[in-house]
Amino acid sequence: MNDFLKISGLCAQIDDNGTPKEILRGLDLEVPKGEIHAIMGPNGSGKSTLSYVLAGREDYEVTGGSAEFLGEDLLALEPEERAALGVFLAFQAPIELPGVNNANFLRTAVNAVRRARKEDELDAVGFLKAVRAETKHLQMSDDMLKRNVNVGFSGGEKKRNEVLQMRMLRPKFAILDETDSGLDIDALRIVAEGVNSFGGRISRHSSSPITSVFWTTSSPTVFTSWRRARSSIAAGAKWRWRSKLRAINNISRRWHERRDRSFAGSRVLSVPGP
Amino acid sequence: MSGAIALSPAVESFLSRAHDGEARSLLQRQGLPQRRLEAWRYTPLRDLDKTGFAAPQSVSDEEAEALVARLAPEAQDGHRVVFVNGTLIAALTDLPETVRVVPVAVPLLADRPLSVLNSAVQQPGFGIRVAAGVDAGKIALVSLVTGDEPASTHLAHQVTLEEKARLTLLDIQSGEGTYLANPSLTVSVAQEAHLVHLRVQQDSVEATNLAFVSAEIAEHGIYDSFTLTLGARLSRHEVLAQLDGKHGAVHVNAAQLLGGAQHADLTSVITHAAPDCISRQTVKNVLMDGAHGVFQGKIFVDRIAQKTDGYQMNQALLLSEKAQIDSKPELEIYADDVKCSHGATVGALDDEQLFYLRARGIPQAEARAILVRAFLLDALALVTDEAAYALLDQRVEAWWQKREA
Repeated sequence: MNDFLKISGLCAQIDDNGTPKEILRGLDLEVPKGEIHAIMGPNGSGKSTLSYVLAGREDYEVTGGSAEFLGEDLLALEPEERAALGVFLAFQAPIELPGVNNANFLRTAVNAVRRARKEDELDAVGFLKAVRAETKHLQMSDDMLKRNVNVGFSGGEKKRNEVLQMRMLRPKFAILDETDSGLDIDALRIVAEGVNSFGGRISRHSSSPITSVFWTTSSPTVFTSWRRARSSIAAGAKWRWRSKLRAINNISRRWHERRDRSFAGSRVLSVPGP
Repeated sequence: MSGAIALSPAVESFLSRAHDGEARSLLQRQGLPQRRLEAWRYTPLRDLDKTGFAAPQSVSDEEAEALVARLAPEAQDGHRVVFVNGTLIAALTDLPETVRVVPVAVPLLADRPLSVLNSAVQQPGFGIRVAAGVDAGKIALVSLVTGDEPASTHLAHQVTLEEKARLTLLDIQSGEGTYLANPSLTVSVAQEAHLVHLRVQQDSVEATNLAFVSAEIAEHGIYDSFTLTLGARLSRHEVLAQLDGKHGAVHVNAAQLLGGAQHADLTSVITHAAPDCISRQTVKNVLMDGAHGVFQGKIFVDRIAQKTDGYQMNQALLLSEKAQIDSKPELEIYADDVKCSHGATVGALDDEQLFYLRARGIPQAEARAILVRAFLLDALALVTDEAAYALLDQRVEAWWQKREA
């Protein structure tokens, strides 16, 4: 029995200049603990809508269906309550917050979540120690913590910042909305490793919460070998989280030779176009 | 043109206490400024007009001390001048030896109704002179009002900085009950002198504050001001600043945080009467409930004031559907080689930013507070004195906590 994430008949619409536009039309999906799912589909098929609806953005009106997460009615919760429960959305286009210091933002978020989870808050020293460990891992400079949130960040820096937030907030379920898009190979490798080592570390310790991940992606056409991977996915092949990383890491090493081996284990939801 | 009407109870009460002949007759002729005057279009004094304002009662030193502890805790130690109900509390006043106390002698500006009103019922305030080359440090000027009956205070202060003198004036205005505070401050900054004027207006929400500042800045002189407006039902802070010598600089920065039915008006006229001067203005409004903010900022550049560098920015954050801002930036330029820019923005909190913060687990109220603080930062960050910045920051924080509670 899956009591991790269960989406049934989910319908959502958005207000399109006064006329409601239906985007999700009865989506059913179950994500058991510990699985990696890729949501694929062309532009406008509802990948980001699904991400936003699960994270609690108000612009989207849920017109039917349900989403249960860890036995809770996810759709009834405020965005901050969902975050505290363990849902994390890495934004496709991370928002800039002029006047908000990145380190302060991160510490406020971490402590808000810790408070909600009935954990002790981190003091300045404890926070700094924790964040330094993560930034080192993600090859982020301290300078990025001193700057305003995402302001003047390059595309790669923004995505790295998302992964940093994810690692600091320790979610149980992460939605990565095209976290791969717009990145060059090096940035993609760092971001992917950040995500990967996180998932890997947790799954090695059975007492830790198990993270499941959605990775939405539209058309990562930049990568020849990735295009091959996508076609396999579209054909319904199963794949494993690590396979994508391998795909990314070995682009220059003719990854496609190994694709049969790497696509074993998880599932892919291919969303039809609008 | 005068907007005179039959004498209102307010004007009657001021006239009965008026002691300056010229100001008295001007007040009698003009009454309080009405909406018909362009400069008063957005800030009608209708409600004020209905009330008679008596001379305030005096308070004991003990009462004054308790009042300072309650309303201006930041000024409990250090150099300070304390006025309660328009009277100097000598027991609580402590000035550095480096400043000279002088009698206040301020000019009457007949075309400025607030100057006229202040002159008519004037109470001698804080008059000091800082000698050439002296750094007088920081002095708190605390003006408080308390009492059961509507009363008015009309303190006139005068600060003169001689060549290369320096002073930071922390000007705290607050009170309890219904009253009118109508202070004036006349500033003179000599060559290479530097005055920092930090003003906190946190009057009672039933009070009216009509403040008038007139400043003259000589060559290489700096008048750097910041006003934080949190209080009063109705307030106006009117600043006239004139740059008289080359390479002078004036900053008229402000933040107005208003809720309920509060109305606050920041009106400034910065006159560039000499070449190579700089003027800077960043004014932020955070308006909740049915609050009404007004910004009227004029930069006047005389024909001889070449190479003027003027910047003016007024921004408003409207946190409710009923909140309102009137913004009137004006440039009047007669020189042909100047750099002057001005801008105004009005908006609500950004939904995307709010969602981003909440999606990271930050509760809505805290997320709103973060965004409001971020909005204010451009203006607050202009206060470079760390202690003063901390004071303003704390007042803003406390105001916000109270609002959100």
